[in-house]
Amino acid sequence: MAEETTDEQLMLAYAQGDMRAFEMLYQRHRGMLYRFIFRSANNRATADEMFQETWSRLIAARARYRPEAKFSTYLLQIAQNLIVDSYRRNRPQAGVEETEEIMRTLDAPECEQPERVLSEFEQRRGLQRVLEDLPAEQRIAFLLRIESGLGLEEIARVTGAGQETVKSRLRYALAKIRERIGA
Amino acid sequence: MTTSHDNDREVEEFLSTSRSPLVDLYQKLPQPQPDAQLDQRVLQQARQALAEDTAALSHGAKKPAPRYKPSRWPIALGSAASVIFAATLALHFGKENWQAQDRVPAAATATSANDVIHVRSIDMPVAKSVASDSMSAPAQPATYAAKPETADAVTMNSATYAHKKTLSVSQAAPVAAAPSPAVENPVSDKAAKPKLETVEVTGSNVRRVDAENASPVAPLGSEREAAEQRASPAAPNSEKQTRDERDAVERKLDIATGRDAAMRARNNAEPARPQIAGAVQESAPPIASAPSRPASSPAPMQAGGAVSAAATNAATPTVTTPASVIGPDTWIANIRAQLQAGKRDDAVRNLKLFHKQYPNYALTPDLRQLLP
Repeated sequence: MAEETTDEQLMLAYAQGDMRAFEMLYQRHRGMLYRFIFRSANNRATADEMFQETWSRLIAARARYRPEAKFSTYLLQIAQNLIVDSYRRNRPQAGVEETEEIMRTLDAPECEQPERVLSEFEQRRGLQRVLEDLPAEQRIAFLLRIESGLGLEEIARVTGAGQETVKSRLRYALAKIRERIGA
Repeated sequence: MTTSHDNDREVEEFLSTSRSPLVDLYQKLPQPQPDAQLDQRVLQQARQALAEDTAALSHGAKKPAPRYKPSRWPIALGSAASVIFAATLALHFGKENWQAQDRVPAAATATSANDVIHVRSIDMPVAKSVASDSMSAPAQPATYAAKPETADAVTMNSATYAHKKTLSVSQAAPVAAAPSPAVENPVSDKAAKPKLETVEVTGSNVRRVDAENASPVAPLGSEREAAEQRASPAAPNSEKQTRDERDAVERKLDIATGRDAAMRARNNAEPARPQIAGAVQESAPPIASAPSRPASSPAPMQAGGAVSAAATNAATPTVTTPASVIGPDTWIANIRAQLQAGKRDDAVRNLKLFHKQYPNYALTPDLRQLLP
């Protein structure tokens, strides 16, 4: 099958019984999906489990698949639902107090903010930590944009939220990251 | 100082640009990948799903799936046929009902316009005048003699009468008295009978067979004879016997009325049926609804009473005579005339008949001597 075949065509071909199409589809999205799940779950075992479960749900829904949206959006929507469910079971979401704390930090004078120049290593580590500390909605929105390259409308479709809500989540996420790493 | 406006601009840049210091930093993070075992599990799961699909398809092909298709089609076809059949029936009967509803007003109009026969009040004809006419005129066919009386008795509304109905009434009315067993006294009947009021006969009743059979109007010809048979159960079955008895009565009447043999021969030469019908017509009212009176009852008309008695005895109620209405004095005078003419036997028979009819009449001694 040609390389230029779209994800949607590959998925339809797999639904018709073409295993080769599924293998190509898997190779295209395995890394992106795994990283998105891994950074969202912050646990490899959980990431592996959710990664396999995401593909399992895709395989089970092959007969019902309709190319109404991008395949990546469809796949990430399945993963996002699993991540949200996992978050609801294991970790409480970020409360109002945390959000208010972020806003106070953002509104604090520059003189009161710690001015320090971090090394690249410290910046990567800081980014990892801030991603782990971000609320789930903010983290998912940030990862969908920075890892999967989705736009505002696609993030809103995957997360099931409004575009303004997604924009607000991204705003808070970027503010918190800038606070930590200064990027 | 970072403001909300700066945050919005930062979000817009983050969404619009694919390259930024933050994106570069993120890409420098460790890029975890699913291990080979995870890949194999996922791929194996995908293959297994396809294998299940193939097995399901092959299993479904082995199954006698076509069995269900033929079993479904007859049900669908039967249901469709039933619906079409029911719809056709409903449409058919619905159309008939509509047509019937459309016909009902038209039929009602036709009934009121054509079938209703209005009969105005009529006066019973005076039998005396008829009898006097019958004395001077011979009997005529029923249809001929009946027309004037019918026109007087039954007057139809020209606007609403149907011609056929008019004919049936005008032809049947004079013969209506045919089943009457005896000649009645019209004068007494006129006093006894109430005057007919307006009678309205609907077309439906006219058309009904029962109404026709029950009608006093008797048909002509063979139907009339059959009606006579039904109306007079005592009538003889043999036509010859009837003719003989009729002749006997006529002879008696000749004796009573003094009619000569020539007239009798002329009457006999004419067809019997019109003569009878004419006699009936002239002696009976056109509407024969009066009950027959017993022959022994006193009657002012001697000859009429005699004929009635004779007719009753002879069981030929339809045979009457036009000369039946004469007074007893005239009858006695005729008897005396026969005696003077040398017809003693006829005079004696006539006197016996007179005495039987008028037993209380005071006969003169010479006539009483003739009686046994």
